[in-house]
Amino acid sequence: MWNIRLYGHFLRVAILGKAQYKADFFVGIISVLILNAVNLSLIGILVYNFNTLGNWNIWDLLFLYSFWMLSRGIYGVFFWHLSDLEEMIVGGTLDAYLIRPVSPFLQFIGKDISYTGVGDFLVGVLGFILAAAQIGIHWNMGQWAYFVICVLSGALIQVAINLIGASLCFWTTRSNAAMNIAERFTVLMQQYPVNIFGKYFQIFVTCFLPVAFINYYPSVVLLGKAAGGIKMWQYFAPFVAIIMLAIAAVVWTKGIKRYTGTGN
Amino acid sequence: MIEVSHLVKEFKIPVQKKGRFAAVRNLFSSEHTIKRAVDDITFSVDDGEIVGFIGKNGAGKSTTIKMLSGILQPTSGNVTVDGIKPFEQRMENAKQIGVVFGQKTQLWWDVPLIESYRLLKEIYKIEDGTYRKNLDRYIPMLDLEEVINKPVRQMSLGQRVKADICAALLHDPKILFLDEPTIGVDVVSKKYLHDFISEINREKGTTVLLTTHDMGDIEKLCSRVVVIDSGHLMYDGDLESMVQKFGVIRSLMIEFDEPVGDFQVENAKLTRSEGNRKWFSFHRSEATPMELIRSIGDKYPVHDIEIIEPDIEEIVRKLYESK
Repeated sequence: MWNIRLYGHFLRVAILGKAQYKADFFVGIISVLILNAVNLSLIGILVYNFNTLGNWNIWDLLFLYSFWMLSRGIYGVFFWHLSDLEEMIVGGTLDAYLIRPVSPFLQFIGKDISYTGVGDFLVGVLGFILAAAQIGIHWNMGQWAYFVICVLSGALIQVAINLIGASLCFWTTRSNAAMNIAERFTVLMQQYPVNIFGKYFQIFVTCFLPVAFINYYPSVVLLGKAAGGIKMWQYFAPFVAIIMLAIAAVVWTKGIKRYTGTGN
Repeated sequence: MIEVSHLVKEFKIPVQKKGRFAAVRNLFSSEHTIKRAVDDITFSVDDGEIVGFIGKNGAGKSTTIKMLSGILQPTSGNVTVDGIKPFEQRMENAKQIGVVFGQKTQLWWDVPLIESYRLLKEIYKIEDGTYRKNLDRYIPMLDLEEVINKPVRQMSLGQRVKADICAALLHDPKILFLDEPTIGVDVVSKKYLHDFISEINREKGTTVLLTTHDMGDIEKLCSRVVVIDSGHLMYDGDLESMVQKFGVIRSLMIEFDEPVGDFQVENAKLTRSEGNRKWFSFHRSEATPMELIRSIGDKYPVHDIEIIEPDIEEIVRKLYESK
C-alpha cells in the first residue's frame, strides 16, 4: 500500500518535470497523431485494393489497430522510459536507486511519464468508437469486462516484453538495438491480423514473442472471427500477461543482482 | 560504526580480441581477466569520526564506498555499518546512511529543488517536524534559499552539490558517505560545504567518510586519513603522524636585514634566493628549524623567519614513492 502511494508521489514529480516543457507536450501529441494517420491510411490503401485482408474488412482492421493503440497508450504513458535503463547502467545513475530504502524497480518506473502514450490512447479511443459504430457492436457486460481486461493485459504484455529487453543490458551493457528490432517487429505486425501470415510465424508470435495476445486474439474473440494461430489459446491474453510479467520480474531481479555483483 | 575486514572486490574484465571479426568474436567470448579493485583492506571508523579516504584514480576508493553503501557485493571479506551488512541488508542500511556522489546528482533534474526534497521525505518516511526542522536549518547554512524553487538543471555545480548534500542529510543518517564531493566546486561553495559538514558532525555526531583529491578537504575536515593505492591499504592514522612520517622535507624561509651572498649550512640545502630572503630545505630527522636559525643567526642578522610544512599532496606523493 505504501509502495503504491509512493509511486503516486513519484508520478507527481514526473508530471511536474514534464510540465516544465509545455511546447513539448503539444508537439509530442501532434506528432503521434500524424504518425498514426499515416499508418492507418497505409492499411486503408491496402484494404481498398484487396477489399478484405484474411477475412478482415477495413473496420475490423481499424478495430484491431485501435485495440493495440489503447494498450500501447497505457503502456506508453507509464513505461515508455524502460529503454532508459541502458543509459542508466552505462552512466552509473542506477546506483542512486540502490542507496534508498525503496525497491529500485519502483524508483525506475516512477522516474518518468511520456506524452506519446496520450496520443496513442486518443487514437485508440477515436478508432474504437468509429470501428464499433461501423461494425455494430452490441456487447453484454461480460464482453465489455473482457475487453477492458484484454486492453490492460495487452499493455502489461508490452511492459513485460520491453522490461525483459531492457534488462538484457544488465548482461550485455547495450540492449537498445535488440529492443528496437522487437519494437519495429511489434509495430509492423500489430497492424495486420495474424492469420494472414505463415504458420511458423503464427506460432512464433503466439508462443515465443507473444505479441499476438496484445490485440489479435482478443479481437478474434470479441469480433467472433475464425482464429489463426493456435485456436485454443485465443482466450488466454490475461494469463499470458501474468506469465510474461512473472518472467520479466525474474529477469529484472537477476539483472539487478548481477549489477550489484559486478558493478559497471 | 564502520568495520571493514579483509575486504576484497574483484571485477571480471573481458579480454578484448584483436584481428579479423574481433567485434563478433568478443560477443561470444567468455574469456576474461580478473582485476582486484580492492585487495584485502581492513580498517574501522568510530562513531562521530570524519575520515578522509585518499588515493589516485582507480585506487579502489569508490569501489569501497559502493560496498559500504550496499551498491556492490564484496567478493570476500566482511563489512558492517553500524552492525548491518550493507549488501545483505541493503534496505536497512539505506535508512541509516546518506550518500553523495559528487559527479552524479541524485536529485530530480527537471523539477524545483524543493520537490526533490518532498519526495525524499516520502521515500525515507521523515516525520513532518524533523523534515521542517532540518530544512529550515540546512537551507540557510548551505546558502540554498535562492535556488530552492529552481530546477536542478539550472543550478551551478556548486549549488547542485550543496543541494545534494542537503538531500542526503534530510533523514538524519548516522553515516554520511561523500564520494569526491568537492570535485569542480568553486571556492565559495567549498567553504560552505566544509563548514556545513563540520557543523553537522559536531552537532549530530554524524560519522563521515569522504573520498577526495582535494587536500583542502582533508586539512579542513579530517582528523584521520586512510590512504589506498591499487586496492591496498597504504596508511591509516591521524593526519599529524602522516605528516611526521612522510612529510620529511620541510622548508625554512629566512629574511635578513640586508642582502647577503649565498652560503652553505650544515644539514640544509639552499633552494631559492630572492632579495633579502632565502629558502632552505631540510630533512625532519637531520635538523630542526631552531638549530638552523641559530647557526645562521650567528653569522647574519636575521629579520624574520617562516617554517613551511610540506602540503599533503606532496606527502601522499612521497607515500606512493615509498612503496
